[in-house]
Amino acid sequence: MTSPQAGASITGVGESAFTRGTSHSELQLCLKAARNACLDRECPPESLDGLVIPGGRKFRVEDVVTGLGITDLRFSSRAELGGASSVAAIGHAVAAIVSGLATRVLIVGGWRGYSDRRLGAGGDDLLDKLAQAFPAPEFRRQLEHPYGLIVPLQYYALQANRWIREFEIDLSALGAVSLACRSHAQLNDKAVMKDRPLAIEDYLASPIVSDPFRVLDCCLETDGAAALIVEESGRTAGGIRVLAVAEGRPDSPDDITNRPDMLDLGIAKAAGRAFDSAGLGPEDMDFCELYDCFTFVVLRQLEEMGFCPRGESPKLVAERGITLGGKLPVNTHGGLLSEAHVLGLNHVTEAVRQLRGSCGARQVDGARLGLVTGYGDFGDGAIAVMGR
Amino acid sequence: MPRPVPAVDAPELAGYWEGVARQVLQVPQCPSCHALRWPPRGACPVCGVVEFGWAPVPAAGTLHSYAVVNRAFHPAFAGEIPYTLCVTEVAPGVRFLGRLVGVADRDIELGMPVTAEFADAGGARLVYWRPTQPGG
Repeated sequence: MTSPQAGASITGVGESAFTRGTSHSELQLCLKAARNACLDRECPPESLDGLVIPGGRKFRVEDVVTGLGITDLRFSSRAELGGASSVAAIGHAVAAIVSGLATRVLIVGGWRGYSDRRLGAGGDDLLDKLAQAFPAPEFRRQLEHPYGLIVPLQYYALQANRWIREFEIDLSALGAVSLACRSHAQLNDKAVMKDRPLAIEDYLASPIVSDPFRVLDCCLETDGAAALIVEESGRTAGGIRVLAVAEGRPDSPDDITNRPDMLDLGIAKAAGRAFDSAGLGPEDMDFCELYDCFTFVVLRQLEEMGFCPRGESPKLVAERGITLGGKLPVNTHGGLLSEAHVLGLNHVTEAVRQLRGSCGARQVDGARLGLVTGYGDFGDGAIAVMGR
Repeated sequence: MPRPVPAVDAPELAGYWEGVARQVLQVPQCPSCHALRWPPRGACPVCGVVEFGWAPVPAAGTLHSYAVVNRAFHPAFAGEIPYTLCVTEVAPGVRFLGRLVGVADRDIELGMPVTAEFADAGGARLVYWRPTQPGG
């Protein structure tokens, strides 16, 4: 590969437990995940010299330095693209490595998504938290909350209905994504939805929250953290190469209402850059771990990344098959929909393990190349193309 | 629990809400290049001028998208379920988020003409959009 980004590899991965309910703080969950990544890498935590924190976390750089006993942190940054931050953070780490600013960079993120912030809990406090979690909080408070536009699902429903009407979408594709993720979770001991298989009848019986989205189109709310270690390629055997990484924003990234093309997503720009940089294309990917806050977002990313034209993802999913054994396995760990919502960092740890060939019953046979995406706020995107 | 109301003292949006109170829709406009700046931004993205005035826009337009909400995420809206959010385009580059009323879900069509109605709800005057009557 000619891409300079291929000079960096992910050399360690780790997680905390994924649960619904925890006695640990967000920081404690993250420190556990970071230690597990160091164990996986077989390196002492104090040897870390770079740190990237995906956006919106409650802890500070110093909390990680002191919590892990790091003695000489040389580089730190934050990625701020909502749910796309975890994958965008890989870009920060790679940049630090290839420029020589750091040699062993930790990316760590997590949250008490169940214990602190369940969206169904409602309340004035929720409105403030949601406004602050998005870009342009004043637009949210002033122009949207008074009308009852509050949670991500409702914003995406506005986009979904435009998409459905414009392209006469077959909605069964949403269910196909939900079921694929759940079936993969049955093969993953860490998945919160292990031993809770799902049939299409269950999906269709699940209540509509905001048309066209059912409860089972929405991701889980869970407690947990995950961590990655990024180093120069070749420093250790078994590193998984970051062949390319990129982030991108849609037009009008702080406002869907006035986005000229309401279906524009940042991943369209990011994926073009990443595939060009790696000299690869969608057809080369052995699997995809796609940010799945909602089933709809999985389908839309496939389109905007160029796996198929806009409006044709339902056909793509039906023809190629996104369940293990199909031609295009998606979210082999169960995703945010059925493993856990760990800010998408769990998509990266899964991709690394797939490329190591260590996924056991859910291993994609012969996986050599894969991609991971992040999706955040009002359509920010990030992508990492990885290979062994 | 009370409905969330817009804070009409927020400087860059105050003129919008002041217009709504008078049953007029108006948006910030660049005094130099006359581009409409909606939603408000820190400076004119076309020419860089930070100052702005206010320009009226039509209180009627076309339906750009919609979303029927079946579950309330704030107790203030629990009594309004189901309600329909909508995005209405009133001029090139100017769309408003609001509520769609007066049309059954199955009759909603993208591009349908809609007209603004102003009504008070929970201490704020808000904008509702209703399909434009033929000849109306």
